[in-house]
Amino acid sequence: MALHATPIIVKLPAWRRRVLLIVVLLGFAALLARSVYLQSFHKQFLQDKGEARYSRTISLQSHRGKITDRNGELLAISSPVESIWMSPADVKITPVQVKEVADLLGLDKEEITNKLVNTDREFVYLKRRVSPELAAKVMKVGVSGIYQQREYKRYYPAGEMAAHLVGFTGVDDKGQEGFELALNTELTGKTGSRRVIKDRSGHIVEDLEAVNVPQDGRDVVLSIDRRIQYLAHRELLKAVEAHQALAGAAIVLDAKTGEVLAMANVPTYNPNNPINIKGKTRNRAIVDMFEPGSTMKPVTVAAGLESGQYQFDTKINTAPGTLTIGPATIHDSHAHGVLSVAEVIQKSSNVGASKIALSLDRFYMWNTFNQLGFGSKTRIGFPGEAAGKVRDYKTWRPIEQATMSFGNGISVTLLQLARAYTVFANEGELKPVSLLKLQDAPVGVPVFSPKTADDMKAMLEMVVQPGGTALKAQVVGYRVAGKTGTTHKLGAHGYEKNKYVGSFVGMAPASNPRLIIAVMIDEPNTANDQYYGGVVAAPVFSAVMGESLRILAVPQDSPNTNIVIPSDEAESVDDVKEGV
Amino acid sequence: MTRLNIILFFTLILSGLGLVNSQHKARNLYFSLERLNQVEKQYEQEYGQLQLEQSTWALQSRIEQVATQQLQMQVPEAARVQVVTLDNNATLAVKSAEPQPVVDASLSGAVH
Repeated sequence: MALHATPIIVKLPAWRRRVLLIVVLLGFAALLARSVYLQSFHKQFLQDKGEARYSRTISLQSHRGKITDRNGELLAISSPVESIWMSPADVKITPVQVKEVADLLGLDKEEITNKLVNTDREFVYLKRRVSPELAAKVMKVGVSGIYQQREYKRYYPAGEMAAHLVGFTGVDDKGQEGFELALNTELTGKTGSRRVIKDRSGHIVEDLEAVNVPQDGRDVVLSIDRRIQYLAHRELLKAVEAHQALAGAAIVLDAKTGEVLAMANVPTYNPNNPINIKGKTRNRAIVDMFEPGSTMKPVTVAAGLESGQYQFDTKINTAPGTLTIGPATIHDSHAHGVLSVAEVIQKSSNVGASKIALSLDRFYMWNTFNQLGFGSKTRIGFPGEAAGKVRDYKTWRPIEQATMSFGNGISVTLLQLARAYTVFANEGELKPVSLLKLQDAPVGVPVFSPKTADDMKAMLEMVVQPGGTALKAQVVGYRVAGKTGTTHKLGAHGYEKNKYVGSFVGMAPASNPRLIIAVMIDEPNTANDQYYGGVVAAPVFSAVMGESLRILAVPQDSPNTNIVIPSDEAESVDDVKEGV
Repeated sequence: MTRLNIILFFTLILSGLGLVNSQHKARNLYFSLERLNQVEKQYEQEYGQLQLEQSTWALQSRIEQVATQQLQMQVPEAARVQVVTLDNNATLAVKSAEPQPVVDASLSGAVH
């Protein structure tokens, strides 16, 4: 038994076992606490981080809306283009390829090599906004490090002829002028986004949440008729060039609905490539004010008819062709003697119009101007619209009341003037004007009685007939009613001696007016006295009116032989010049 | 008890495989939907481009140029236009009593 030594039982202290147990348990507790912490308190952060590893947020571009004319013809549309860019550090290119790319993009070889030197930059445009076809060719050259990027460019097929109305967008696709600016929010729409999971090769595999659908911009339908717009632009340009004028504007209104069918301005610019446009972007027909001159007389005379003091054939003595009020004297260019009210319009007598105005109450006359919309904006929704100027009637002196009767001392926009003439075309109702296509004809505001309006229309018809001031406004096959205007321009020191504005406002067919056209020519060349509204503006009216009525298939209301060929001499004698 | 467990086990496996399979199909379908959306977008853009092209070709100025220069067309003078009276159009006859009610024959192509 001696060999069988009793095993030595080492009695270890009991605390060692407990300590170990506690340490292990504490370890487990720590792990548990950590996992609880990660699973509950830190969960959101971790999930977000995890998702960010494989999910992507893609922004979805909205498409900018189109702008079309009333018949759906395009005026503005966005079309995709490609921008070619490169990352200089990554580019591996041979001299042959440099030449190839340069030739395709129309760049100098040096331009490309210079850009390649700067390897710090990761993104350099080679050329922005080239056609997709050209971009495809460039990519086919197969240079690594050159990429294409899709962008949208705005195209304006109508080009310069509707530039002032439609406007244009900048590089950032935001409206800069015209309707592109006025309706930018509607046209732009809203960009959307979606969160997706992409696989290794970049394909979208799954949507993580509901797609935030982009809202494409609204298409805008203008009231413009592109065919008539073209005519107005062509004829206006012709007249401005022929008379070496500074500028010109023309408006074609639908007489029944007040919709603007055309609004042309010269000088103009190309909205597809808006460079050197300073001073050319103004839509003069809406933004600029001018003194209307005799085109205002129908308003004064209609107010006289409406007051009941005057009839169509009431006689007014305009002899001796001058009228002195205080220190100032009003002149007719030719002394006429006794004229009927109708002849005051036909011959455009300043004295006659003044006498009618002076017999009217100041407030009554002011109120008529006011009701016809002079002095307040048409609210047509175009940026920068001018309100015109009609002074408060309490401040009117008699001489001012007289000159206002023939359109001096009052400022209007061409649009206001054209709108005012809707009363003569609609039995005394003033129609609101619109640059957007309307579904129904809007309700007009009655200003004159139907009789006054019809009488005035008859007087305006006499203007374009022998003895009137605007024989050149006649249109083959249609009866025309209208009025000329010629005014000295307002300068820094009162009226400028040799600067004029010639205008014409008229309607046809006179039996049932369909169109109203207003034309204004700014500073026509004064050589040979060829600056009167009847000479510079009336031919534009006639040409645009004739062709537009044919395009709109308006039945003729007169035989084809209605035209009285004007001889130039007879006309300049009958023409009338305004100015105090 | 064991049998039930075995049945459940295999059902579980099958259902798992089914899930994988349908997930795969869903992704495939989604992928093709994506592609078709892309194609649709592309067609839309092409439509826009074609509209633009048509609009540019159909510009009034170009039509006029082709008509007058290439095709030697011209607007007939007033003397060469025959105006046809519309007898059955009562409203027109009433409105313009003095001059004969007329209609423009040039509309229907009076270019001789």
